[in-house]
Amino acid sequence: MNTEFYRPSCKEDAIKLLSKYGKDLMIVNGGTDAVLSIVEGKADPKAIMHVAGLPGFHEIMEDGDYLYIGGGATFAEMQASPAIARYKGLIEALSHLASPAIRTIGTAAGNICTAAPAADCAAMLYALRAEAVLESSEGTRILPLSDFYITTSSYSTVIKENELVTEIRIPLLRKGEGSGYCRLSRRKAQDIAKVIIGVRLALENEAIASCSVALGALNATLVHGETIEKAVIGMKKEEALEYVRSTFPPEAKLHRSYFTEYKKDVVAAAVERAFSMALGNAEGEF
Amino acid sequence: MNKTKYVGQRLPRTDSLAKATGAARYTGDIWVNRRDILYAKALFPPYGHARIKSIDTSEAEAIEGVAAVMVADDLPGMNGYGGMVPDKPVIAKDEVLYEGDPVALVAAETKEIAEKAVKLIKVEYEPLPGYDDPVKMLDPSSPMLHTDNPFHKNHNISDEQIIKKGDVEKAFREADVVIDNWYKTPLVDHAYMEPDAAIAEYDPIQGGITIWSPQHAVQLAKRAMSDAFGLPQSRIHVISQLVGGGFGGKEDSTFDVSVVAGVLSIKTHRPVYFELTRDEVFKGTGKRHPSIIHHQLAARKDGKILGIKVETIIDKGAYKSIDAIPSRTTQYAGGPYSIDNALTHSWSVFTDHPYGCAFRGLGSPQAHFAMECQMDELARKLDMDPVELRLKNILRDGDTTIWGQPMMEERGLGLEECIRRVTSDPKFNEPLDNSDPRIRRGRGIACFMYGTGTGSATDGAHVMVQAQPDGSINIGVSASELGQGFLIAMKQIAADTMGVTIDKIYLDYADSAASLESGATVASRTTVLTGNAIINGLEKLKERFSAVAAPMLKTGKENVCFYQNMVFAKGLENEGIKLTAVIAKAFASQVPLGAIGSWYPPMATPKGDGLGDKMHTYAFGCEGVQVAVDMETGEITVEDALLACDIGKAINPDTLEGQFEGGMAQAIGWALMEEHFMSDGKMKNHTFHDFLIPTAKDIPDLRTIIVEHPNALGPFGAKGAGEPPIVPGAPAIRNAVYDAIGIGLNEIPMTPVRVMEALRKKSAENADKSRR
Repeated sequence: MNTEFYRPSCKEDAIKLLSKYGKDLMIVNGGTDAVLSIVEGKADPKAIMHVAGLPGFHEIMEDGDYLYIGGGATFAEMQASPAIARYKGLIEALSHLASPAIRTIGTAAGNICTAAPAADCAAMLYALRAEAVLESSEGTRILPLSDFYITTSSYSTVIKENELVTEIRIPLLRKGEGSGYCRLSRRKAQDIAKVIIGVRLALENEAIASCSVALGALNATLVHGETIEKAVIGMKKEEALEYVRSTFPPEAKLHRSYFTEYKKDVVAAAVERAFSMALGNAEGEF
Repeated sequence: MNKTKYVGQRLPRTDSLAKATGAARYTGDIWVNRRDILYAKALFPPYGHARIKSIDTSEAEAIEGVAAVMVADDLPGMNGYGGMVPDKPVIAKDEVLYEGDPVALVAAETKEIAEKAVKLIKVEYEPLPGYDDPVKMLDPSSPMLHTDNPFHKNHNISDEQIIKKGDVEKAFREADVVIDNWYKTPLVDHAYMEPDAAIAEYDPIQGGITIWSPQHAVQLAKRAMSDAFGLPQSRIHVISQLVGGGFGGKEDSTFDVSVVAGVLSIKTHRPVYFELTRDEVFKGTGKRHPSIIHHQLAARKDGKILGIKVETIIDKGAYKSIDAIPSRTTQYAGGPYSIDNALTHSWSVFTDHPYGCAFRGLGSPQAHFAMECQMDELARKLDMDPVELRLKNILRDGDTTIWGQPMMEERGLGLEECIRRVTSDPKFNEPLDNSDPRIRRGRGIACFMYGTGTGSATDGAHVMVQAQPDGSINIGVSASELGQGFLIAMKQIAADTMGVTIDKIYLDYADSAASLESGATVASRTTVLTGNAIINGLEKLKERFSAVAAPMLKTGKENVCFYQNMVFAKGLENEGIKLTAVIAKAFASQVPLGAIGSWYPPMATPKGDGLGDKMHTYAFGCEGVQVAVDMETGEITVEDALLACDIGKAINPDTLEGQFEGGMAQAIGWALMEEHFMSDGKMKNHTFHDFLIPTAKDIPDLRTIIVEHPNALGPFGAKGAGEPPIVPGAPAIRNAVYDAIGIGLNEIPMTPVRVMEALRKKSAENADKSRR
């Protein structure tokens, strides 16, 4: 009932509030998930802290070996950012995420923290081997997304109650690298995906030199398609496409649902499409 | 009849601007702006079927700000209400039959208090088995859902209808081919934007009650709720606010909220507001009836249909509501074709599901889905062009329908023109791009007919018209503005009839105290029936005014003409006098300025065996669709859709095209994605997150063709147009998918899951064949 509402003016104040309230404080960034959970009565926080206005929180820039995405950067800001334009897979993921209205307020940081298994942006970031920068009164730690989620259950992360995601960073796409994305859903917009595939790969001498595959909406959490990641190393384009077209990634442990058989039928095609986009992106102009 | 100036013109709807700017006021807006009003909540059960063992309301009653808590024993009148029979309890007493049966009601000073109080009501339930399957429930050995309802005595059958024409067995014996298939259509919500809401205010002066709520039928509402209120029908005053989408659903789902607000207002003598959350709308309000159809069609090898045998089992849900579906599914089981021998049989069967109610098309979409799929199956079997096959069988002047009604060109018979205009459309004949083996494209068509009005003996419309001394005209009409554009259409008809400028026409609409019974705003009936009643009323005024004007114009009254607020003798347009002068003279000469206008269609004539004339006129149409099917993901994309529909006369082509496009889009939803899943009487998907309706991206550029074969009995030749456009979409899409992938899907919605399942089955069959 008597929820306190804070809008800190700097990161330091935000971190102090986190230390003060701990788990009783709900961080609201875009609020597209948080507000829903409050309205549905799933959350009843003592205090709400709105972080979208923190200085510098919306910045998106390249620096050194990384592309940095500010903790308050919205999906729409990412879509419009020249620094992200050549991350074709990420642009594709963003352009299918929810609706234009949601994209103007929802954020990548919020997306990874909600930890939904069918999160478009988070899945693509996972494939891009992105890392979360977590700050607290105890200091800063940087976690790859593969260590960020608690893999045994949906909607859970290792983030501590005094920590704030201040940035997400992606190892820069170098020449010869590309990313691709494919989602399958029941309708053409505003629908939670039933299959999400994100791919990042590097080509050297026309063969795949490194590869990262994210599988979304297939398990309780996002997972890597490690079997495919390993198998395609050294393969040329057509060989790789032929391989993924005929391989159901064993890391996708489908639970029994109305969609199980359907997913069995379509996952390989989705992987192929994501690969095809990533290969095109890798071969494209740098 | 005067010269027409407005009928046929593309005039903007009167409600568009206010709705676009937010100035339009809906029921919820009244509540927000009133200070004296109580807020109501209902407690709904967590079960689809359960016995109520005990209810304890003491904690809820103890909260400050709670004005009333009601259980079944506290009701002012009979514990029942309903559009056709009062079979639905206001508050469940001993047993809940679906998730939408309220167990207790609360009215409180604020929304927050009401929400808190309703959570404190303690109910002990004994869960009972959920009855989900209408086929099992039709079996006489199945348990009965209604064990103690005075309106339901025929086991689990709510209604049963049969049409018998000719000698079906002989037709099947003599047939060269028989097409025999099962079809299935889903349970779907109307998904109107505005959730159901009502305000009730007790009238201490005469002991009546006023209800404000979005309604299809303000006069029907008086009858539907009078027993529950314990009040004579005359004391119930119903006003329909603007309706934020109805599609038939608010014909009686509105009673669910109105009756709750009403009994609480009668108890507290305070105004009460009750609205449903979206979750409650999904679980509790009426739905489109799901159907299971066994369709058998007998034909000669030249394509002539000899007979049909059709059995349709309809999931009625828990209560009767509007139960015209057996009647409509038997009627339309043979589509718009001339068939001499027919046996069509339909049952609506009770289950623990949300009650099936009116939904755009009222059973006709289900029936046509099966029949139009059968037509393509027959065309394939005979290796005939599906267009030629249809042209060979369509109803023409002098043919009789399967219910024995002769078809007449003078009532408008434009189906052949619709088919020819769709199938000769250049875009519909462009070569299909099938260069990518992963994407298969195809085209399909479907035809239909749809009657104007209810086709029952009670169908008719009555309005009040009154000329004002300043030359403006009031028309009291009980119909509702649902977003269909009824107001502008009535103004166009009235202005041309009366010979006044359109700004002179003002409608006192959707208020039971300012209008007479003109039937519900349903059944594609308002333009024709209410329009004709308005014409009838205005003609009466004109006749009186002609008698007054004749001496003023020095002519005979038969020569008096009315046009653009002027009255003149025939041929002497420039020597006219103002209509206001005639009205002033009439007012001063004991000539009444008001009249009642009435219109009845020709009487529906039941002759036994389900035969006899039903509606006086029918809309006809044909839709052509192009789809692309992704063979790897099962995704269907509707790439092109073209609807030609014969509606007699377009009173306002803009609003008419709006109806066409709306129906086509809604059909895409029904065909491809909309579907509620029920288990043990409980709805599994009750949010817009998992009950999907189409977005703008799922709808192609919808193309429409207005075809006008006038109905001699319609206003300016019009036929009903509201529902027809939804009917052909689903079978046209299904037939296009058939063309694309060579598989006929007989269950909708055709989701990616079902498409992949069908492709999997086919590839297993092919593998099996090649092994042998």
